[in-house]
Amino acid sequence: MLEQTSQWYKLQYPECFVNEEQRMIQKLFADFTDREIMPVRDKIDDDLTHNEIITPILKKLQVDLGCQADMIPADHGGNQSLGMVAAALKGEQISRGDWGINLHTACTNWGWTPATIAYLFGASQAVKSWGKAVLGAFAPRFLTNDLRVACFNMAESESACDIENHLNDGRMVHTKAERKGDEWVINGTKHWATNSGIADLNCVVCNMDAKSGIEGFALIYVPEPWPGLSHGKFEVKCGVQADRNTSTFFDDVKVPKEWGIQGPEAWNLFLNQLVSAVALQSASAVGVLQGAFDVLLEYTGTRVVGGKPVRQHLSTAMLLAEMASVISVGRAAFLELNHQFDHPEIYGPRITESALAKARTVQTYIARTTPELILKGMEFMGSYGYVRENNYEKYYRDAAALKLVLGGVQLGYFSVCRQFYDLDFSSFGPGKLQPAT
Amino acid sequence: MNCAVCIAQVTNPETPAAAFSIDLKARRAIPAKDRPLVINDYDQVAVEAALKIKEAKGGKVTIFSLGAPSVTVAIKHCLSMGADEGILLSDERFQAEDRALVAYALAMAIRKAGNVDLILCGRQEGDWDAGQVGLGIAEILNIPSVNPVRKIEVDDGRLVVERIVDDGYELITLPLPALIGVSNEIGPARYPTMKGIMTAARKSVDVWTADDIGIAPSRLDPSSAKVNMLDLFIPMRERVCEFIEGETPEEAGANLRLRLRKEKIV
Repeated sequence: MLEQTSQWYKLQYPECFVNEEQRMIQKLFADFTDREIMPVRDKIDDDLTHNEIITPILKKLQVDLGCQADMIPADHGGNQSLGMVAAALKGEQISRGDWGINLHTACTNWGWTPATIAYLFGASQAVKSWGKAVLGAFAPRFLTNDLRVACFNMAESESACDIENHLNDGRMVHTKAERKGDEWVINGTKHWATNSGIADLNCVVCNMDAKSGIEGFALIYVPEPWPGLSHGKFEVKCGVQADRNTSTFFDDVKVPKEWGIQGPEAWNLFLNQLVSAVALQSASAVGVLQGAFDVLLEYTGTRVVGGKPVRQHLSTAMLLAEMASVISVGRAAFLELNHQFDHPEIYGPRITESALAKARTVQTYIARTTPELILKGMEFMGSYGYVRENNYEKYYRDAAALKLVLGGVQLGYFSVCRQFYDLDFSSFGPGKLQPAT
Repeated sequence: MNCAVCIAQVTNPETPAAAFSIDLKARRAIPAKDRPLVINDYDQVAVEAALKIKEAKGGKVTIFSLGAPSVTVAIKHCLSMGADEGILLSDERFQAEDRALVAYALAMAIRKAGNVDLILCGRQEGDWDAGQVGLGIAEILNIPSVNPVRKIEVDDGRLVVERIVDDGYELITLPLPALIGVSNEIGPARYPTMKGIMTAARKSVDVWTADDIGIAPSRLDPSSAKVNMLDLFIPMRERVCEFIEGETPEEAGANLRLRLRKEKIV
């Protein structure tokens, strides 16, 4: 149970970063995780159909608590919960129970983000109008008592991190969008996107013309079911079962022109997507490590070896302290980062090299460190740490994927370097791919 | 149909007894530091009952509580569940241990707020399990009350409730205004919603002092307390374990029988 009046809590979540509303949101998701996820966390990844455990949890989270309307503006009936700190606290708490559940809810928000940001903060009337058209067409179906899912459909099988590599200016996006009359026509294949195959609404990352880079970049919303849109099989993964991943095939998918946006304005929305997700993923990683730490702390307190509890042995104490230190430092870092992103009037816009580098320093540090520490911790649980019912190995499996998402930590490190020198990690240039002609 | 719900913040009932110490001089139980205060579980269920009545019959739900300013957190939680207003009675002269005074203060506050058709309380507190405040409020306001209740229906301006008894329940009809002590059989309290939290965070909780609700200073004097704590102690429990022996299990069983008979246990 999250105890918000203890001194440790106050030191972990300082008032300069976390206000009253954010604390209430944090408590809501802490309680939800403790009651709804923790008791079944060892069974979540075995629910291959999602019918037994995952979907009932998601329905409570997304419908009963109203999270599926978080990124829908208030004047369209949604929660307009745009704050990064609030989203980070939510992600940390849910990931403490199951990172896949968190990915599901976070990526429904992610799918909505371009349209809502465009509508509320668009740099031009055209951008605002696009957001308004998308919200007008699709927001009402997310405000019902049915579970609705959104998907930011970005990655492709041959160019995942190359798409997330912003130096490529979108030229590695192979999903082709064309304007024909009053319609967009989309052809291509996406892969890996969270919520793919179960989404009611996709925001599809497209390219109109590879050689024109940002000018040809496009974001197009496509609902489901929709003619020409189909899916492959769901991937069977090491863990993170609540995060559905599959292929999405676009075969002459035609949608009204009002649902798509192209050019630099679309590109800026895309950059905002990337940097925001990196910042939030840092909080999720801390949540995964916290979940593992709590299990390890309890187990090593009751298991006796050599005449005393395991955690009274020096080697275990050292590891527990190291985990607690990374949690504490990681938490401080993600709170500061997301607080800064909530205050562009002080710290500047999010879509800059410096902002991305800052976000990547935090994300890569936690994402890289978490799996290593969790694996070390398994040594102190022995085989008990390797079986489902002791709730530890699930964090080991969750943590492995922390390093893989959003282009992977290597791409993150490259971005960090760009803050300090002109590291060239684009796909194009001398000795590399040549832009299409 | 306007409902008032009285809530209290209590030490988490999950707190182990070993985490408490006793201040013998002040006759107070002191929980260990950093032990969380939570909304009394039964009171949360009372809020849930009020919200269901509001959804069915309309009206508003007002939360009342007496305690330190930190109780605002508990009231805001209820607002985020869907309650409309919150009023905190906070005055350092209030003696929360004096349940009669707590009941009196809450009754005065509800009277001041006015326009209340139904008062809901939890059936009892999760810390002392006294169950006195709710019925005390009804007595002071001179309205009918029933406690503990597992089902509430509003019908033609009257209440039809099921009161829990040892071997089932009693069906009771009573007029409004009335006070009901709600039991957990009503059903679990709902989670707040995101929208509810965002709304609640922007609402302010009114804080009323003893003067605001017209309580005379003499009533606040500890010497006028209706409850006098005579003693407070942790009961000592001694357990003596004795193994009854015998050459065979049968003989040990026979020896046990004799011993139990000797001790007049059987």
